Amino acid sequence: MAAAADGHGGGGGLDPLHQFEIYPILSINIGGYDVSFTNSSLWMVIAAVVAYLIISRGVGAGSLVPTRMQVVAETLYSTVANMVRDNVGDAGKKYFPFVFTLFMFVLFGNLLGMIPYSFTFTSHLAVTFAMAATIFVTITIIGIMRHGLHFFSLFFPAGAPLATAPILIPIEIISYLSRPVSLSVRLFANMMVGHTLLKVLGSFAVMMGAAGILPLGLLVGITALEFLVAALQAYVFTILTCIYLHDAIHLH
Amino acid sequence: MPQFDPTWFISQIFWLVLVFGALYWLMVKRALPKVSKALDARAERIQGDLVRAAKLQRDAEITAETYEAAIAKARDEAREAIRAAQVATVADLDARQDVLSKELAAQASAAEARIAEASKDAMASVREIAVGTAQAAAGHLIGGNVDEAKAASAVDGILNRQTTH
Repeated sequence: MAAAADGHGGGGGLDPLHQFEIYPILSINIGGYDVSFTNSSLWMVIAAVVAYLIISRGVGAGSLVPTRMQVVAETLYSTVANMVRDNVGDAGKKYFPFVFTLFMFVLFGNLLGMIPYSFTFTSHLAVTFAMAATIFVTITIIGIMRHGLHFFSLFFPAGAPLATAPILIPIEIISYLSRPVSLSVRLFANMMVGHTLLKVLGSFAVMMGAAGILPLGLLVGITALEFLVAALQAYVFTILTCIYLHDAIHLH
Repeated sequence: MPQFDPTWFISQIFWLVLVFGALYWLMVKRALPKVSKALDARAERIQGDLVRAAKLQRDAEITAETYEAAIAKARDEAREAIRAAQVATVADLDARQDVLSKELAAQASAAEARIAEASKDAMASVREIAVGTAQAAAGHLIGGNVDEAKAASAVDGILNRQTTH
């Protein structure tokens, strides 16, 4: 990992993928597995701490007339609470803490990645796929526990002619199995492409000298767009989780 | 692409599970109860205030109704009192007028009777004086004594002629 160790996201580096390099900060080895504390782990911890503090510190004593930070915390809370209620219904109430944690973790993972020289852990497929796969497996187990074998009626839409079963069932199964892939790839690809684009434009701005004002202007616009994407992708990731949860609980 | 370098896959997933698990635990145990408590307290307070406001409004409506009823009742009573007073006044007035007109009628008839008496007396006196005067005048004119009865019949004759005319 010599390449990774020689500096991360290096300012003048022209390799736009360099910012995604992971390097160890503290080498840890458990049972022969390398579980070193890396820059990725560091930003996970920072995102978690920021997410926790915004909610916990934000609410503070929980005064009747909210303070500014309390409004932030309460708005985040009610946004996710409404999302769960609208998409999953009352049965989704007990999954709210998980969905909320997921939203906050991904949101701050994305947003903190916008800080120059930071690291966006959501731009790594390993992380997004681990989350998506966990969600997928958990939701499937919830569905089977709630409905037993009847859960598999999810793969055959009610009311469709029986003759269409040989075509419909494989399609529905493939569509169901591709959920974790689309969920994880969407987030990972959005974050990676956005950050790569910023880096490429940034390099242009530096290389072009006085004419660099053009890519610089573009960079400002794209940066604003990336903030939107960061929030939007966290929202999409969470709302899709809610929709999958709804399917498992209500079977269409 | 560093994303497809498997070197750090296990480390990433290990720390993801650890950090996400810790965040989940902190959210469930610490942060979320605080938020829901604050939101519930506010919703409860607003609901309580709304209920109280509705109750106060109901009270005010009841008070207004009571007031209206009292006012209407007082108005009716006043109208009744005025009507009774008017009736009593009219009756009293009628009674007094009756008494007064009777009294006046009696006085008038008594006066008429007195006038009639007086005029009869006067007429009687006029006849006697006329008879006397006629007797005396005739005595002087013809020189001698004129019979009183003759004078009286002459006077009566003139008086009768005057009254028939």
